[in-house]
Amino acid sequence: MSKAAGKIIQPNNHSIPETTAKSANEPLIIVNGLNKSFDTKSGRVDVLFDVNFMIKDNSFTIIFGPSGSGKTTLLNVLSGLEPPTVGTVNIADQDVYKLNADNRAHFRAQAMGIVHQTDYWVKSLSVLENVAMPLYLSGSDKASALKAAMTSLEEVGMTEFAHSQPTILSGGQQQRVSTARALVANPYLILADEPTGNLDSKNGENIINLLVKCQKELKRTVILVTHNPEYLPLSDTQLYIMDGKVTTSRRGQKMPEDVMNSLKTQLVKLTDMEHAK
Amino acid sequence: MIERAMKNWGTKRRHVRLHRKTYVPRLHSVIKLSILTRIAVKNLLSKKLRTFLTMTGIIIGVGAVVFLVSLAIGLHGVVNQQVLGSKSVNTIDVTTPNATNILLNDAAVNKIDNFAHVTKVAPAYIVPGQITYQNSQTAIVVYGTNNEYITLSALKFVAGSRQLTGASSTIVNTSLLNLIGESNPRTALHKKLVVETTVTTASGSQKDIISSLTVSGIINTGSGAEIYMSSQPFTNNEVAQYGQVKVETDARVNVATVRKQIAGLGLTTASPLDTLDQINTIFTIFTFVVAGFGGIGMVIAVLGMFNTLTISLLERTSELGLMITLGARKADIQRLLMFESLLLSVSGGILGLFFAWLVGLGINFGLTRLASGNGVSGTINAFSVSPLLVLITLALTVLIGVAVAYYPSRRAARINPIDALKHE
Repeated sequence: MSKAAGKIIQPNNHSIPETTAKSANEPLIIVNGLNKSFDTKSGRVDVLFDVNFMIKDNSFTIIFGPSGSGKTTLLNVLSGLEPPTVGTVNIADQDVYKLNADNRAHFRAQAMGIVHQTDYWVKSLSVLENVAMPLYLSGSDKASALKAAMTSLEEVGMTEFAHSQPTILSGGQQQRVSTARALVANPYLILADEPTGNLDSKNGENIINLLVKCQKELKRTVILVTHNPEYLPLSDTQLYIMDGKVTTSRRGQKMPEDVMNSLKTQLVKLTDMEHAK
Repeated sequence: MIERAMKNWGTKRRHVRLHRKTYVPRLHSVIKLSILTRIAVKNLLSKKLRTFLTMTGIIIGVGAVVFLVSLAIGLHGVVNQQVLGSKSVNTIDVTTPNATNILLNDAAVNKIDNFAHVTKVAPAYIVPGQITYQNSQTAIVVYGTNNEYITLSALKFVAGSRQLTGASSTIVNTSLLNLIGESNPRTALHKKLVVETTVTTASGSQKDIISSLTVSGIINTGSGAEIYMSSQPFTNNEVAQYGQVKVETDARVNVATVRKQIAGLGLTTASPLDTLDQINTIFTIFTFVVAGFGGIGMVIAVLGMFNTLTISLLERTSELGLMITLGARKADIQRLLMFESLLLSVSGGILGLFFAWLVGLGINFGLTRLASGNGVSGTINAFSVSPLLVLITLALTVLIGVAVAYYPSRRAARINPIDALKHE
């Protein structure tokens, strides 16, 4: 692994950041001794305890666990939005929380694309400009940002809606545009928080396929948060969260016993829900 | 559609050799100002009615202030013009407070003439008299003087020569003509008048001076019947002293010094600057009072704008949270709201200025037309928008824009993006 630490960092350098070629199996994310707790009116609530894991470059990772287990909190910590109570998050050799909030935002714009469960938009702007937003915020000029946004929309098959208002689109269409926005700045990390949560199975499948292709063909590192066990076989790394504790499992490894039990409970719940429908 | 897109997947990006980037932190906002302005404009346009109503408030507020202040400035100008006319502010009128003990005679005139900064000294005998015209007699005020005094008096001529053309010529005012039944100034020219005055000579005796004069010029200055004639008959009869002396100084700043020196001789001085200063004081107070009245509308408009921005911030909390997750920094969020506020206040201010100017211009035009219908010539500028007023108004609108956005934009920059995204 080549060390970025050896390079001279020039805070005022507005040119393209220096790049370091990486091989597929090197770690991209290293989480060390991470704890996260929230102070609420009823006292301190511990959400994540002693979390340690590593995610390899160009991998497909699923953060899996029941509702309320801390999946989204973990994703927020990874994306630099939620500082951990204790511990460190290193992404591409950068200790994320050593950066201040503004520089974390800038880092996020360059390094990550985020697909949310609910679609959020700047409502006054068109689909195209919403997709271009991460580039705008990184300092791109309008013409090149819109060009890249159009390419991204082309990749998700949404060019015909480029000049529409995002809110008039269907849920599935909005998620595709959201994926296009996550890809537009050419980030090496895609974070998706239950992106299929509000979609029917066909649209959900389309979005998952997009994410799989992001990893396989565009060589991105994808982290998908889900409570749907059906997607587990797609991943090469799984992070199981149970009551704030994270267990890592890689493809071919045996699943821990307690995780297996939880998984069974989840499947029963899902089957019941299907029957109820 | 999606199938076709899947087939083409990655074709455009496949050639991009993906690298992990060593992150280089940036200390300043990087979003282009043109893009930020564009987003601000689009945000405002997305709520057209609200933006229109808020901006109308600013237009009315700014318009009211500019309209009233331009009225104060315009009236100030009109009053100054009426009071001073073409009188030079460098002149000083000298009279004696006590005609018995302090004489305003040639000796005094010579002393004044020798003071520094004095460029002209023009004395005038001012005595009561009576005029005989076509067997009727009328009481008048007679000015026995020279052309220099007439020039310094800035008389308003309506007909004939602007100077005394000879020892027997006279300039009379329209009040006199009305009294003697010659209301048309043009036909009154070259008429012959007999003027009779009684003067006190230097030796203390009373003397009658009778002059036969020809009207050479007509003025409409003064409310009573007045005539201007040559000082020669008064000098020849050794009249004890002048009624008034007009002194001209080289510059306005020296008026006070010269007045002090003249006062040292025991004489009384008056200057158009006294009136001007009083007028200026009154109009400064008047301007502040009317600006205050207009300011009430302005305050209401500013509160409306603050309300709009605060509501807009609440409505867009999740949008701002999204922008932060996509890479916006505090400064970007603050600037976005600041730009929206400035767009509202400055464009409202410019439109308010424009409408106030337009209405003032219309009223000026109407008043001028009305006055010319009543025989008054010249334009009447009851409303005057000065460049300084424009500059101050624009600076004020910028200040309002920044002040109104200060609190909401600070609040917006402090929002937690995760909480903001959950906000509906």
